[in-house]
Amino acid sequence: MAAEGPGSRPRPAVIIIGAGVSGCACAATLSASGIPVVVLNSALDAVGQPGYGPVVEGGVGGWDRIIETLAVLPPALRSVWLDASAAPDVEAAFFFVDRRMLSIESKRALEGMPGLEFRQGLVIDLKVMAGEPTRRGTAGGGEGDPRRVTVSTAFGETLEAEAVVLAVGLGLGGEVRLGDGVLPGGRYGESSAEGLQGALESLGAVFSRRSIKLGSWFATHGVDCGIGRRAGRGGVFGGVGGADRYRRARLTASGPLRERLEGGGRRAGASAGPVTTSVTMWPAHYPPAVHWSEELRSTDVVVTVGLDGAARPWLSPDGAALGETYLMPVSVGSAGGEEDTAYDADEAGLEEEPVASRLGHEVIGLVVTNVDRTGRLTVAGCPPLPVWIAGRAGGAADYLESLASGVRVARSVSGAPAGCDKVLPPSAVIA
Amino acid sequence: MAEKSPVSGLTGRRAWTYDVVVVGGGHAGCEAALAAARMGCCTAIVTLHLDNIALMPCNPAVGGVGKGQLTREVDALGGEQGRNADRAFIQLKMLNTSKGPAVRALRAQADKRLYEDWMKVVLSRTPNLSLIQGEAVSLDVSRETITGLRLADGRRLYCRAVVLATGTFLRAKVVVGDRSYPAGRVGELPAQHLSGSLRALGLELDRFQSATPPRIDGTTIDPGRMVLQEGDPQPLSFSHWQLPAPRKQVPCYLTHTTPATHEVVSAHLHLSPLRSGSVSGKGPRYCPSIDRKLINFPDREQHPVFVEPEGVSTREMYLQGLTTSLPVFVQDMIIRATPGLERARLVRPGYAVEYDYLPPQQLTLALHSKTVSGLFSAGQINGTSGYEEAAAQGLMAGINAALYVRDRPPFILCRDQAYIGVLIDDLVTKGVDEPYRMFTSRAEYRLLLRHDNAADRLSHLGHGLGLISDEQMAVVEKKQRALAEYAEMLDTIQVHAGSESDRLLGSLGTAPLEESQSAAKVLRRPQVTYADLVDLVSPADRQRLSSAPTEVVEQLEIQSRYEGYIRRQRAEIKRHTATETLAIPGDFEYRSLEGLTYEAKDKLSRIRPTTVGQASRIPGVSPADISVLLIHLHRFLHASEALETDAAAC
Repeated sequence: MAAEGPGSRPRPAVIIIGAGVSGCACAATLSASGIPVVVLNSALDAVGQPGYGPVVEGGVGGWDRIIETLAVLPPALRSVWLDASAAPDVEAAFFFVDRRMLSIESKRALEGMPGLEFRQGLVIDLKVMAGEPTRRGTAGGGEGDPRRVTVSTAFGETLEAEAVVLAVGLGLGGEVRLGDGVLPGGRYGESSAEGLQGALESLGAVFSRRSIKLGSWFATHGVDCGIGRRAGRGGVFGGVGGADRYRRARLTASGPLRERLEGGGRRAGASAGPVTTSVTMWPAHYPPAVHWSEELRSTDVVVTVGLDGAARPWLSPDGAALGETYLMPVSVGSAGGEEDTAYDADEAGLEEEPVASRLGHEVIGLVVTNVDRTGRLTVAGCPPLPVWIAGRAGGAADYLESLASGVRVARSVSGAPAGCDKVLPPSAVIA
Repeated sequence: MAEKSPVSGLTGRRAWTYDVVVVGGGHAGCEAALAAARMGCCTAIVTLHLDNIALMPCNPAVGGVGKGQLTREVDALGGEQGRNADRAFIQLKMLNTSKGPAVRALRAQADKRLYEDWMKVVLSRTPNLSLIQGEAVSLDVSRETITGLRLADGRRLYCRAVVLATGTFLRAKVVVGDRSYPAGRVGELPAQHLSGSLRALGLELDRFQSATPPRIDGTTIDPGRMVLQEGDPQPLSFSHWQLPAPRKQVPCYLTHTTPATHEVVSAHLHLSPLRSGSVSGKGPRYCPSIDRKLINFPDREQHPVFVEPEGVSTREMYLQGLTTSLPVFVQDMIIRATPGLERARLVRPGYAVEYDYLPPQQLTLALHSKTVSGLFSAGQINGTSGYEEAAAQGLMAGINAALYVRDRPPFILCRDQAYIGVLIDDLVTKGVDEPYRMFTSRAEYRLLLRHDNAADRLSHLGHGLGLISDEQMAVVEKKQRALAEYAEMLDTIQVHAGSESDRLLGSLGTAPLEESQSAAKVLRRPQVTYADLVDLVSPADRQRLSSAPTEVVEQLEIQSRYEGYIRRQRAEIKRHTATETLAIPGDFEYRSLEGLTYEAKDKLSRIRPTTVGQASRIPGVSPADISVLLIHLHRFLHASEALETDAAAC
């Protein structure tokens, strides 16, 4: 139950700023623990939208890491991730998400969770106040000096809570470098979280700069007649760094991902446990989704095969409704430190290069480095603050870390044992 | 060639060539791009965000009175809006079924996300069309002629024509109370640079504002305190070519504001951005905020509020009628003072958006700039409001851009052909002093510009442009043949006078037949429907008549019942040129004229035009007013003639 704040406005126990991958994971986990939560996002149409491309990679942790991470998500959110995902039918530790479907369905799933409320608002300020002792005492983890947090939006709203979770991606001091231009914001096209950086600074937060490189998107039909066919023929690309460097793979919705998660995982760690998934929650009359699942069975992706023999994503569909194909950025496609030459115009023979529907770009933003293992802001010489940082803003380097950190922050806020440290080693948090 | 700092996705290519580039991916931009691409032009659509194609930032609905006719016309000409509304609808309803055919119109509640997704699917599957995410920053113009467009990321698009469909994004800011920040819509970056480029070309820009109501959590409303609003059990479609897939419809609810609501608004009016000066642009008079309604109609004790679902995948609901940009805590209070919403939880605060627009008198009837060749504009940038107004202009701008590229003469619709013609003529001849919205009263021939006959009026033109396929045209022609066939049948089939027909006609509340009459004549009686007529004829004729398709029946009824009016409107069109120069007596008394709006009486009395043509160009005097004026004027002139004759006889 939300406590009554000043006036008649109910006070949520926790405010989450940002509703991307980590914000949604955190909100769902808090709701599952019975903690009231208000999720603030500058645009509610973007809730649940993965901001940095459609590819989710297991990295060195491989499938074990993918399965373990998905397994700690609250079941309703995990179902959404599975429904919106597809994996290639090759031995490769990555999968693709339909970003649009994930967004719509995450919001729908979260809207149905008890005690969870969305509010549209661009947060511009954050203050921690010395407060009266609360009857709950959970938000501070029972560590004394109870405080409260107020959050202000650009439209002049002030909300109050016992704890706040920042899940703003790279929005702190964020900028998007795109060709010759620079835009504000933590991801392309969104308003930047101005003001929050200063507020955190005055709380004693220490930052370091991080950047993410995103690849380009192309119209799927353009790719078919341009880049994709070349890869399919094994022609020019096939010749780069070995005959099997680029290979077509078939996407399957019920492929390795669901199979491994549902069957307990051939390679999954014991912590994954039994997992049940629902059938798709997509409305029956939602034709783009039908098209997505049907077309998945016949859709090809192109993977690169590194010198180590491992397959990595290269060209992938960006969801059914979007009609676009995502091309991984340069550094990801290379193996063993070797610079990928596939992007060289002469090698590729792509004089007739199609126009990018979305241009590859770099997102640069600040990461809070003085957080503890649970994602809590920790300032030397200060009692613990009711401020947690989740996802990229807390140092998460990919989607899986974002998911895991959202869950872990939620557990820390609610006082539950973390339980997913394995997925997000502390070294990854503090740069 | 690869460059040091690659701008494109792969190799550093920086420039591409198109025939037509459309700036903006909203309702105007989508239609413009689709029309140009379907007419064979190599087309690109540039939008700030590809995830927000065809977004419905305000009401989750398409159509309605005046607007629904526009959507039907867009469909009849091969546009996408009607078909897309059919794909994404969650409720369909024919409005004003109890009123005359001129004001009947279809309205669809849409699932917003589904509407966007379907439009994106259609765009991405259209040949000749590229979708490009980016911010257009400047136009390349040489000798007053468009040569290309530059994007903020450094890419260049060479082209012969540009269609600007920037919506509310040019130098936009969003406003609540005394707070504001730069955004084209909440959460989206504005387009900061293009206005400067337009100004440098000598184009005039001005500011408008628009606003949207708050959204609430649909699980926190009390439907028991509101009136249920359901869709039609067997809904008609916007599209002339396909029937909507059957689906479970979602209800809306109707409630109203109360004196308590009004008290909250009045007590906080000083916090309104309109009062505090944080908004300078002019807002819509016809889609006013709740604050504006209270100022304009201080005596009304209640205003309707429709509570409409935003889709099937969300619990959010839209509060049509509660548009406001008052501070958020006031919005909370307004909502909770409204019956059925006492416990409603605000999810998205309402807000106003202020933006640059191009006063449309700078355009030709082809929506083509008068000063820059190859520059077209459509939608809110032309000072309009509404998805339907935007789509109609988008379609016309796209068509005309394609024709311009081909060096073919422009495509212009007249006021007596289509609401689209009325819309564009109004914009470019009268200009706008507030965001323009379509009403049936803006059309002088609204009995001819009906929902049901849009394809009859326009599809042959769409076919000529290559936007309507042969198969689609065959559907229209088949219906037209059937209509002619059944109309002829009605002329020949007789309804016999006698006890049986007397009894039936009596039960319908109409007089018995004195002698046998053609079925066509009987159908002219307002009480007699086509279905009744079928019962009145002989069994053999009954079989022939009852096989008529639904849309043919609808048109037969309208054509018979309103034959007189329709004939008069057609005659009026012929007379129109004569009336332009018709003189109005200097002492003509407007205030006592029945049927004239208050605004028209006021303006005509003050300005005292010397001819009907002059009167018709006074902003605030609608074409419907002119029709009324003409009737009275003819009566007046006729009466004075008669008086003179009488006097002479004495």
